[in-house]
Amino acid sequence: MLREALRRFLWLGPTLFGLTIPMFWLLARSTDSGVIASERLPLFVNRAPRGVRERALDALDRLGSGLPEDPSQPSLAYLGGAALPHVLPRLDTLAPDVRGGVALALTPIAVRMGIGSPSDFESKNAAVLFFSRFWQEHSIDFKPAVVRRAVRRFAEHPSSLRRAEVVELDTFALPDLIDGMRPLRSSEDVARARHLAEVAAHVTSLPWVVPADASPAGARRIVRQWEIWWIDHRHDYVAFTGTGRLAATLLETRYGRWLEQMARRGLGTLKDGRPVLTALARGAPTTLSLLGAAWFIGYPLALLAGLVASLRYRGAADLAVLAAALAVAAAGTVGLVLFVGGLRGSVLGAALVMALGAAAEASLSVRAAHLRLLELPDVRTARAFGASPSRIAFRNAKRVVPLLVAESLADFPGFATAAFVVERAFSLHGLGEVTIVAARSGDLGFLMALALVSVLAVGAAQIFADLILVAFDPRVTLRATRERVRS
Amino acid sequence: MTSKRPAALTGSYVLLGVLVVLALLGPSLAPRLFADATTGARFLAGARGTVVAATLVMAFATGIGLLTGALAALGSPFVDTLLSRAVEIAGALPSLIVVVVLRAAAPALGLVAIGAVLAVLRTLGNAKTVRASVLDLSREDFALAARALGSGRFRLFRTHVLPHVVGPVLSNAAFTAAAVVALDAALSFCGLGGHGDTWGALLADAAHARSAGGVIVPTLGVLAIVAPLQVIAEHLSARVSAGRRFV
Repeated sequence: MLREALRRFLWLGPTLFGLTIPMFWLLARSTDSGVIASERLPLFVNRAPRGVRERALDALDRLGSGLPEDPSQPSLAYLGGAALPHVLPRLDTLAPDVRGGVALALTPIAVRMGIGSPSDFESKNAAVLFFSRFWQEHSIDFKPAVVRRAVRRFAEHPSSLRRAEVVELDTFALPDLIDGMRPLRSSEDVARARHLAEVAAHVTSLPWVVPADASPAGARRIVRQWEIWWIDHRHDYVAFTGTGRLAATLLETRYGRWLEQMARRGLGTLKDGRPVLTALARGAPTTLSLLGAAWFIGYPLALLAGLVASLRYRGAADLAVLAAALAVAAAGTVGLVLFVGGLRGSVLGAALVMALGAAAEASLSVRAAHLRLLELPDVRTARAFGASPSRIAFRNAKRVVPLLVAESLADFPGFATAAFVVERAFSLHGLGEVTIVAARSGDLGFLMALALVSVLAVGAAQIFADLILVAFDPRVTLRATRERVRS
Repeated sequence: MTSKRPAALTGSYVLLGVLVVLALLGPSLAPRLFADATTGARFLAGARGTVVAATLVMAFATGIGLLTGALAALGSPFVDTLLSRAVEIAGALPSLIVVVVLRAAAPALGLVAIGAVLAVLRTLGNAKTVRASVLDLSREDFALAARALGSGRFRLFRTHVLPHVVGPVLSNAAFTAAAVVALDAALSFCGLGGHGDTWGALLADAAHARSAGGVIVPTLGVLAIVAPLQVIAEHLSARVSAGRRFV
């Protein structure tokens, strides 16, 4: 059984992965925007991923054809140094007038890189001459290995000269700048992240800098912002070539980006920028307490009521249990909330609603199961020998527990819904609050994360429950039972 | 005890018949009998949608659940594994959220979305119950005797196991009707849509207004579906167990 449990546990991973695809498809259809920025990206497969090369060439074409600036498309100034290896080698092939226009469009980059002042670019010819010379002298610097070394040297031993060296590479250095911000454990790490974030903020004009007195936790928050931004904007600064292009067909999609955020940044982020993991951790204690009330008060209550009802079959106690269970089920959580309205605002009232809701259907299951047990030969013999009903009920209780355990897990979707209703009715701050907000605003990231965490938790709990079943009844082995039926 | 059974059973059938009439005529009777927007008018107006949704979910969950559970227990291990995985996945998603997502993807669905989600969940639940019951009952002496006399697996299921399983499955079905209304009410209560003329919306509005009377009317309506089905389920179970007792 342990091997079987382990096998099922290992299957949870692929099951979860497989589940994310239809879930993402459905959620993406139903939510308006979500945390993934580029809505125009394909959902699952990007047959033509567009990196900085394609974007830079598009910008060149637009300049060449004299079209007005398209605000939805990145300009050369925005693409920055990352676009230079794709633009400057083509400068000589362009018509003289276009060449001049392109060189002027690159002016803000040169100013940002600190290699020229606006006076150097007063005419088209001057701008063309400047960039032609620049590329002749510096094209060797725009190589990944060179950039990596420059950033590493600046991170390890920062100086104004080394900073200038990195700033001259502009956005071409962004991958290494962002990679270099981690890890963040000591004050030395914070200092390194501060220098790198300052350069990254300079080349992107983003405001995320690490303050001089930042703690490692404070620095981590800033670095996290950079990393999240990078997942959404990487395609503007990185050229997709070779295996990177193959990976981009899957990663440069809405699903790919979500998966990357999940894997790298603790279940991604909410629409308001908060990490999903933090929101889940904040709401989970309240919701889990309510679920606990359902499981640890409701089910023992159901066990007791079911056993009493079955022992007093068709008697007053049986009819009372039946009537109560049916009435509670008919009223539902919303009706129950009103009936215990006097306890509104109290945790006791919330726990009572959850427990009663759980006990209703389960008590009738226990009753039915116990009625069947009462017909078994060993029980009938015990009754014939004068065993009291309470003794019989006590002995049979453990034979009914596995059924309750299985039922309690199967009822999770209903319990979760009940917990959300109870939280709202009793003004408790649990997962229900954030989930309802996410559902209303179409927060794809949170809903996906919640679904995955639920599936993982309930899947693991089901395996654990099966192990409990074996503990209660060693004859239970799934495979053996099946083989016996088929033989 | 035995003499009471037919009366309760007859009463249950009558009550179910009344519900059918209510579902057919309720919406047209509502404006004649009650002023606009009263609880009674909304109750009658919502009868058709609620009863039809509950009936369809019950029929689907019972029929397909029985079939799937039997196939999982007696068929190939692949079906069994598939059912287990499906139960694990579907059993972990809060139904409220699934309905919201489904409605957002197809806004025209309304009560159908609730029905669809519950139909799937209840089908899987029933299938799991049936599977466990079949595996359990197949070890009983009467089942072994039937096998010894040459019954095939599916004949064994149809003739000897099914009568024992129908009762619990029908009992589950009774609660399905309650679940349809409860989920509709939960959606309305949480402000996630569902403000139509359904019993669930009526229940949620009454809870918001803290009107006990408003809660009692739809609760009695649901009870009128749940209780007769429970009585019928009881009757079916008792008939089988009485036979076994005599054996």
